[in-house]
Amino acid sequence: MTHFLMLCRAEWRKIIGNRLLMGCLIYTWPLVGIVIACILTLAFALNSEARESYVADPFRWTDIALIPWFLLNNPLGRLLLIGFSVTIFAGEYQYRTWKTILPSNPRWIMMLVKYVAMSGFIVIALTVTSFIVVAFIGFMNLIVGAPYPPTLNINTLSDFLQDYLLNASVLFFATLVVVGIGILISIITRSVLIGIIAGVFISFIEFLGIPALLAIAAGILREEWIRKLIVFVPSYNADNIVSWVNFNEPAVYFDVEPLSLTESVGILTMWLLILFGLSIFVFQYQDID
Amino acid sequence: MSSSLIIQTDALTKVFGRGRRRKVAVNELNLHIEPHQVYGFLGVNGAGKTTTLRMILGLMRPTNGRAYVFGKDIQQHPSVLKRVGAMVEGATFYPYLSGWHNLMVVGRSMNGFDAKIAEQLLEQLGIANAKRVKFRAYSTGMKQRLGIVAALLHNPDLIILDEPTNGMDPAGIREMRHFIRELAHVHGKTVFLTSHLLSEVQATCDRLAIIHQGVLRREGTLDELLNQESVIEAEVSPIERAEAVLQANWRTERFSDNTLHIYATKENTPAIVYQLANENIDIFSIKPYQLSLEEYFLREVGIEV
Repeated sequence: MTHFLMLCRAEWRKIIGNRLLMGCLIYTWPLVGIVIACILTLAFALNSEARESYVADPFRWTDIALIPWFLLNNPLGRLLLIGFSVTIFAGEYQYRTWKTILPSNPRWIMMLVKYVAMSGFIVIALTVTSFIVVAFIGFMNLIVGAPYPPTLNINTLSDFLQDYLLNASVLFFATLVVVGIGILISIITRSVLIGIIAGVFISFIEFLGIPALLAIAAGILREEWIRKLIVFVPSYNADNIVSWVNFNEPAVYFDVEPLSLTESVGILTMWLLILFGLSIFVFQYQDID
Repeated sequence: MSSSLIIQTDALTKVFGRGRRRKVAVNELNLHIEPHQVYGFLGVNGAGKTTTLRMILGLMRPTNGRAYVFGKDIQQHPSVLKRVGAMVEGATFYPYLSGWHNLMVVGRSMNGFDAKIAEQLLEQLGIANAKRVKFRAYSTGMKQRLGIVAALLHNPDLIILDEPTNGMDPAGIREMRHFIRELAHVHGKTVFLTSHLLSEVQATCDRLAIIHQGVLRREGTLDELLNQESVIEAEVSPIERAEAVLQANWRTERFSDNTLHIYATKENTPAIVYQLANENIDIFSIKPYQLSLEEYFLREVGIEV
C-alpha cells in the first residue's frame, strides 16, 4: 500500500509538472467558468431588460454547481478531457520513459496508478470548478441585485450534496468509458495523437450518431432488435441513470424498452471493467522500446 | 541455474517479425555474470546488446529461454528487479521536469526517494548545479550523468548501463570509468555494461562477452580472450614467399607491406625461423605479438580493417 501511494505521488508529480497537460484540464475549466460569469455580468450591466428578467428568475446555485460536470458530456469538454487522459498514458511512450519507471513494478499496478491519478485530478479539477463557478455567479448576482436561491441550510445542503455526488459520479463514469477507449487505443498504438483522435471520434459518434445509425441499420436490415442495442451504449445508460436519479423515471429513447437503474449501472460498470482489463492485458504483453 | 550468479540467461532468444520480416535479434544466449565485477557486453550496432538488456529488465518478453537475476526468473519474480538500477539506450526522462523532479519521480517509482542520497550522487557525478534545470535543457553528457544517478538512486546491487559514456567528453569518460570501477571494486556492486567503445571496455571491465548477430561469440576475462590465440609478428622479405612457405603449417595474415602475423605459439618460433631461412627469406625481426581488444573484436565479428 505504501508503495502504491508512492507510485501515486510520482504520477502526481509528473502531471502537475506538465503545464500543457494541466492547462488542458485544471486551468481551462475554472477559467471558462470565470469568463462565462464575467460575460453574463457585463451583459446584464448593459441590458436592463435582461437584468430584470434574470432577477425575477435567477440561477440556482445547486444547478450551477453541476454545470462543470455536465460540460464533461459536451464535445469540447470531452476533447480536453481525452487529451488530458491520453497524454497521461501515451506520454510515457512519447518520452520513452516507461523503461525508466517500469522495471520492478508490476505493469497492472502502473496502469492502476495512472487511472487513479487521472481520476483524482479530474474529480478535483471539476469540484474546484464547481466552487469557483458558484462563487462567481454568486458575485454576479450580488452585483445585479439578484437573489441566489435556494437558501443555504442543513436540509438544502444535504439534498444538494446527495444530488451533486450522484450526478457527478454518473457523468464522470460515463465519460471515463469514452476516455477509456481513447486510452486503450493510445496504448495499442503507443501514440498520444491517435488516442485523442480515436477518443474524439468515438465521442462524436456517441453524441450524434449511434441512435440514428442503429435506426438506419435496423431499417435497412429490417431487424428491429438492432435498434434495441442502444441500451448497451454508455451515453444512453448515463442518461438513464441521471434520469432515474433526478426524476425517478427512465430516459426515453425511441420505443426502446427502458432499463432499470441497476441494469444501467451494471452496463456502465461492465464497460469500465472491460476497458480497464483490456488496457492491462495489452500493456502486460507489450514490448517496451 | 546457479544462485551465486547475479545474472544468468538460459538460451535467451528474441525474434522480431514473422515470415520474410523475421529477424532473430538474440539467439540462444547463455550469459553467466558473477558478483562484484564489471562485466562488458560488446557488439556492433544491432548485435543484440540492448535487446538482451531489455529482456533481462523485463521490458521485453523473450521468444524463448529465460533470464534469471539474483537466481530468480524475472518473468515469475519481477520484484527481484527492485535490486537493479538501469539505464537502457540513453537516459530518458520527462523533458518538462527539472533534473531533481525527475529523480523524485524515478525514486518514488522504485523504493522511495531519499533527497540526501540524490544530492550526494548529483555531487559525485558533477551535475549538482543543474538539478533545478529542466531536463530538456541538459546536454547529452549531463543527461547520461542524470541517467546514472537515477540508476543508483535506490542503492541497487546490480547496475545495468547501456553505453554509459555516450556523449561525454574525454575527461568525462575517464571520470566515469573510475566511477564504474569503484562501484564494483569498492562498493561491491555488480556492473553490467554495454559499449562499442573498445578502449573503454578494455580499461573498465573485468570480464566481457562479445555478441554478434544475436549470437554469443566469446566470453571471458580480457587476458583469457586475448591470449586464446597467440600471434607471432615477423618482418620479412619477400612477404609473398614467406606467406606461401608458412601457410602450410600456420594461419597467416598480412599486417603491413613487410610484416606478417603468424597464428602460432611462442614455441613454434624456431620452426618458423628455420623454414623461412631454408627458403632464403630475409628475417628482419620476429617477436610475440599481443592482440589489442580492438583487433580481437574486429576479427571475432568478421570485420576487416
